[in-house]
Amino acid sequence: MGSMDAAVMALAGSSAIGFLLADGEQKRLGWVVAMRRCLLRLGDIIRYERCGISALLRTIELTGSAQERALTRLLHACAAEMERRDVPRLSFIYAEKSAKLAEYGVLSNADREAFEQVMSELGNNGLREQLRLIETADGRLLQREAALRKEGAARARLIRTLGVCCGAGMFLVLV
Amino acid sequence: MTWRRTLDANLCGRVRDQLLEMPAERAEMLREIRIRRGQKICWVFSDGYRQTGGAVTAQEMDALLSALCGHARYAYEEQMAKGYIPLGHGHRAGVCGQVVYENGRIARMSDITSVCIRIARRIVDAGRPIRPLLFVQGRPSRVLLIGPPGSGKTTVLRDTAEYLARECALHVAVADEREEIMTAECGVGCDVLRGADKADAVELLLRTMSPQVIVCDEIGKEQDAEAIMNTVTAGVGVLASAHASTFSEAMNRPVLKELMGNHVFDWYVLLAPFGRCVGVMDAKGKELNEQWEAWMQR
Repeated sequence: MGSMDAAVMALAGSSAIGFLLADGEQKRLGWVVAMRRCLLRLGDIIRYERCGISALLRTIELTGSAQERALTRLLHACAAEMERRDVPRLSFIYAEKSAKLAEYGVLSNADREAFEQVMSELGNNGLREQLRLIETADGRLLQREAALRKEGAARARLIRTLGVCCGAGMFLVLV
Repeated sequence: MTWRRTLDANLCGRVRDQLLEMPAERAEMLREIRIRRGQKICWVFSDGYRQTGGAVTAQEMDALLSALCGHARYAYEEQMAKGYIPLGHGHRAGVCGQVVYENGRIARMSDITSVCIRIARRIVDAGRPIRPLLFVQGRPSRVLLIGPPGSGKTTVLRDTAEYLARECALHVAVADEREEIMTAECGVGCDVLRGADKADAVELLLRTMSPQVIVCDEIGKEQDAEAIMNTVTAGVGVLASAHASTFSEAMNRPVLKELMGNHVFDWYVLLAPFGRCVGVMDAKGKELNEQWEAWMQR
């Protein structure tokens, strides 16, 4: 009876690990989508409204997914920090705040590079340059999104399947 | 003090610290802050000026510019190309540097070397001396305020616009091109169109807001004069200002000469530094100082 329990536990545990890892892949995709939506909003505000960077960051209110909400909180924290500092540099503030955010860790360097480049240049040059920068970053994120959707979905499926198969294998061995 | 708090958000470094540390009674006398790269910060008071600290470095100037723009330079690109950054609440920073032309017009200003921060004040009753001139035969009159820079033209315009809207219950429309006429505290009852060229703004206001009086600052271009002529022919009162130190100087400016020649304005008021009214002239160019003093006594 003891080995049966262990086998069931092994099956459940291994499958759970597989699902968790696969969920991480989906979270990456969620972050990339959130960043793209954020860039779209930033572009709209920059084009049609005139406000300082901290006010601009505060106007971002994305609530569609957990990643969008986390990104919104991150940007609002950056805005608050900008207001506190005498000579604020958004690139440093964003790097500091995002490093403290555990959920942000699921992103690879390639995923975050495009968005972080926008954050480092935001407010430093003219309107045309800003819009071009946002457009370029959005194009790069779109490519990442497409790649993640294609590869990530397949990889997630594979990880889940492997997890379940591994669990089933362990179950059989233990039984 | 409200104005210090409103300006504080747009400053940084030494300028901000020194402004906040300044005793209240001294700060009340502050008119301008002049910052030039490589030179000391110059604080211009109503009784003179004072220079403080060491020379302003390129990094300090860059940080200050960034702060003046709310760290969003793209948002003020167009205004900077025209030589100023609106700071809200009527405050304004004039900027000077390297001009870049594109397609025959100034596209941007880079390598900023000088900044002049002008502090806007709301002085209650600053426009009191010109109040006897605001109506002619029961209709809102057309008044041109003439004065050199720093003579308080905008302060008088601001107070008078508010007076006409509040006390006389008129529909007052303000063409506030540089966003300095109307501060946050005033402007109640006035329709304010900010940021547009005066000529465009006047036309828009005439068409859409049915004003009884139009207020605009610093007439200088031919288009401005044309817009004022259109306003007058539409039967709307005008309250405007122009740069000049004397009536004769004003008459020698081509744009004003044309307006004066066509008897567009009912009154011309000459202002001296700090909003002192030193002369009044009627449409035909006759100085009426004694008559005006009698009106004031009444």
